[in-house]
Amino acid sequence: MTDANKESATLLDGEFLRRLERLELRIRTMTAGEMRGDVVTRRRGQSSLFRDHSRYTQGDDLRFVDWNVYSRSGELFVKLFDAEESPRLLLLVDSTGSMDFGRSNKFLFARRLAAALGFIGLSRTAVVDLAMLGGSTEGRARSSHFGRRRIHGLMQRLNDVAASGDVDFFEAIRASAGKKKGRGVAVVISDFFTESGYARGLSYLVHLGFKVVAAHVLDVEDFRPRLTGPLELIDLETKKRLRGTLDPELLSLFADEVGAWTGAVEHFCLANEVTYCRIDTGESLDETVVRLLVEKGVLR
Amino acid sequence: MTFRSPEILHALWALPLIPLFYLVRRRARAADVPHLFLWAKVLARGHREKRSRLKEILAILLNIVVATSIIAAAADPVRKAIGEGRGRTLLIVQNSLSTAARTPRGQTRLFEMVRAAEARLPSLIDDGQTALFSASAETVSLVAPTFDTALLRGALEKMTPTLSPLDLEALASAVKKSTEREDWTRIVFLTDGTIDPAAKTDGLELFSDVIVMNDASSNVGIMSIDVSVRGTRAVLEVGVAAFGKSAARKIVWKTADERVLADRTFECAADGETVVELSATIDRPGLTTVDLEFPEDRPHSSLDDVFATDDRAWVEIPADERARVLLVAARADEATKACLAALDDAIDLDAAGFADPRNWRNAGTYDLYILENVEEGEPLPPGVYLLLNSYAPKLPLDRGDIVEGVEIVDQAAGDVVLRGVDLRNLTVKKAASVKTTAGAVTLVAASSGALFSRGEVGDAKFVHVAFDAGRDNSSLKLLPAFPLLVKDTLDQLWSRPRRLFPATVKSGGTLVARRPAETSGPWSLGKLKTPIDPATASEIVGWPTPLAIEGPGPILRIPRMLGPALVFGGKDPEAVGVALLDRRKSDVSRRIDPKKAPVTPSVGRLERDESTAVLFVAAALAVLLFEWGFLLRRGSP
Repeated sequence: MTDANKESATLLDGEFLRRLERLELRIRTMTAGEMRGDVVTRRRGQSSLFRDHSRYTQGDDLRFVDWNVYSRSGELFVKLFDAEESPRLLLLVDSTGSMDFGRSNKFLFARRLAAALGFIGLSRTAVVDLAMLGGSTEGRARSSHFGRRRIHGLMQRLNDVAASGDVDFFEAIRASAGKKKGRGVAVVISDFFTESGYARGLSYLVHLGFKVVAAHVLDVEDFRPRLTGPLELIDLETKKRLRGTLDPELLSLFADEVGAWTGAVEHFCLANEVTYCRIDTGESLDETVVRLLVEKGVLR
Repeated sequence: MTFRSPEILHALWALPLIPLFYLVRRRARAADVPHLFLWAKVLARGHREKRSRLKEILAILLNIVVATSIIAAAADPVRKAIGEGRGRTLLIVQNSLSTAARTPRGQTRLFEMVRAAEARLPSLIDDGQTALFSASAETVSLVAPTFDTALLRGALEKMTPTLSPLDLEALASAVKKSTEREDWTRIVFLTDGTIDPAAKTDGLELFSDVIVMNDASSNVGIMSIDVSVRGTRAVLEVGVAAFGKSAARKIVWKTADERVLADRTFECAADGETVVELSATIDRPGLTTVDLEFPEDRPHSSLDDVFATDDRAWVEIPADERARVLLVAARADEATKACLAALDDAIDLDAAGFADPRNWRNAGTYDLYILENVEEGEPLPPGVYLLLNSYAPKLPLDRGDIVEGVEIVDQAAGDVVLRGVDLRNLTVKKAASVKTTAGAVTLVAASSGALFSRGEVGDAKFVHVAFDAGRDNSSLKLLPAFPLLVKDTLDQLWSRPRRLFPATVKSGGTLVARRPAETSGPWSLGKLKTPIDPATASEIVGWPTPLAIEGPGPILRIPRMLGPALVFGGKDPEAVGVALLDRRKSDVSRRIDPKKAPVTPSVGRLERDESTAVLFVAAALAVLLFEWGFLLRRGSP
């Protein structure tokens, strides 16, 4: 367990919880009038809330045909009603070895971010599902939490996991998200340093109907590692090794490569209806959450 | 270019630490990274690695250049000053008497030193003006500061050994005075190392270079020669000394016409005298030579140069000059003859005579007359007498009655005549009561009066023994040391009629004393012509007996306490020389090959080469800037 994992105990302390409460209040204040706490979904459901007409297509339920409109227009239209249900928040946290890295450990930041989002979700009566992408099989199992009181369980879950190993991103997402289409918000918190299928994984989530948010967590060390001279580089996930001599020029090239890679991730997200948010672990958690939920419109 | 502080250049030995540092740094460290796929893309570009290696090598080289430049600047580079700043060398060549000594190469030490000086002239002149002094008892300026090499060479070639020793204090004083005028930048002293005494080397620090030219080989010389002749048989006892180390030599004794009389090969002990005995049959007296032969061919040089002939001596073989003794007694005593026979080295037994007291005056001329129980009626004629209970008119002795039971009262212990008499065994039954008067001295005082006395009357010298010598009570039997008494009487009273040679005694080349040929008798120290070193002076004046020159046989024998001496004879029998050598051990000399000895740079006329020093520092800074800017530049992400 790295030093970052040892700090997970702070997820459970009272100070962090109070901090989350203040954050949630702040979010609520910022979004007051816009939302009533519940996620409203546009689904055809049994509700007294008429919303709109839709031209009849074969297969629609005849009970919802608006006969009044038919009598006036001679055309068939069905009524659309707003259904009320508990919002769903799916938190997918990358727990592969690459996350256990950084001047400010990415994994710790990711877990704190997940805790913050989970707390806000639970406060808004959302069902918060938490799954870890990577690590052990047990760790990858999805856990569901509902109700504010369940924040401790959420945090405990986050606390108990360590970043290690490698994972097929797509398979992990698919295993975590399931196959059933649904609604809600899926937030993938990861550094996306994987050659295997982050794109497929995100696309899968979109296909399932989630509003997908890619919280791309990066540390300054990802761009400018404090390495120089002859080195044997060891992959934190695969434990593979690679020898090389690092000089300033090569480090500059590396930084360009990382920039290109993260740019590619962003480009993919933008092109595939994924809300992309680049997060620097050096940022304040509060500001990150605000930016993520409010500025990026996750709560809308 | 040279450096004022060349010892700082030893820091260059640390330069290998620079590449070593890089080698250590090159050891790959392990580092965790979140992924490798992006690193692999970057590192896959092979030429980057090679370029990185090249950069590293370049950095090593540049750091070496920087370090070298800094060290060179710190060592304070200097260069020869131009014009007024050029060097000024004083070259001093010792030409005291010791430099006349020969080296195994057959040349004098001075010759060797002059050659060494000439070999150095080009580099000395190149450094600046050079002056030449000679150093002996006086320091003489031979050449004023000049660039003229020919002038200096000419002066060197003309140098000859003087007859005086080196006065180091005078030299130091002269050098100091000249330094006030000339501002020498370097003073080179060529010496053979014979600085006497060895402790007085305080002045040596004046010199930039002290070059000692000493062949450091063993110096073997004939110290003394004793000759004894027995009829036609001559025996030489040759004292040979080796200074510095032992040496094997062959000593050859030849006649004047090169006929070998005797030879012997021997090992001469170091720092000591080895006595070699040679004997030969001499058909006629005359001049002979004794040579020390070296393993290698060593030429002899002119006899005028006394130091050159320490391995050759001339020895005059005298005719047999033992004393002729006449024994005057009423009856020849066999015991007497036997005693005389024991003195065959001093007495010519064949020529010894026996005479009756009544007619001994007609027996001829003898060197010693021994009278036993003789009462003369007339005064003794000129001669040397041993009077055993014998009396003559006008002797400065008052004779009284016979005394029995004589007891010894006192003995003049210092008198040489009595040195062989053992009074403890002496029993005197009867003796005449004798008192000495003016002209005689008591040697042994007894209850009877003067038992032994010595005196002179006219030209008759005598030793008197007042024993009562009856026919059955021979004094001879009472005196077991009678032979010694006879010999000592001869030695003390008999002036051997040999030719006396003038002698000069030199101490390290200084004339100590001289004895002219025409004088005779025991030779004593004359007035010192020049002062000598107190260390040796005390030895000379401390001799218990004056020097005695005996010629033409043994030249001179000097007590060991005087120190090592070179004894030799010249071809001219009138010339006998003794040179007291300074015992110089070979460890004093630093043997320097003239061709290889470096010339000390004239430091005083070197000026700081500041421009070069600044250049070194600037080069170091430029390289550092380049290295920092080019090699250590970091790219932006």
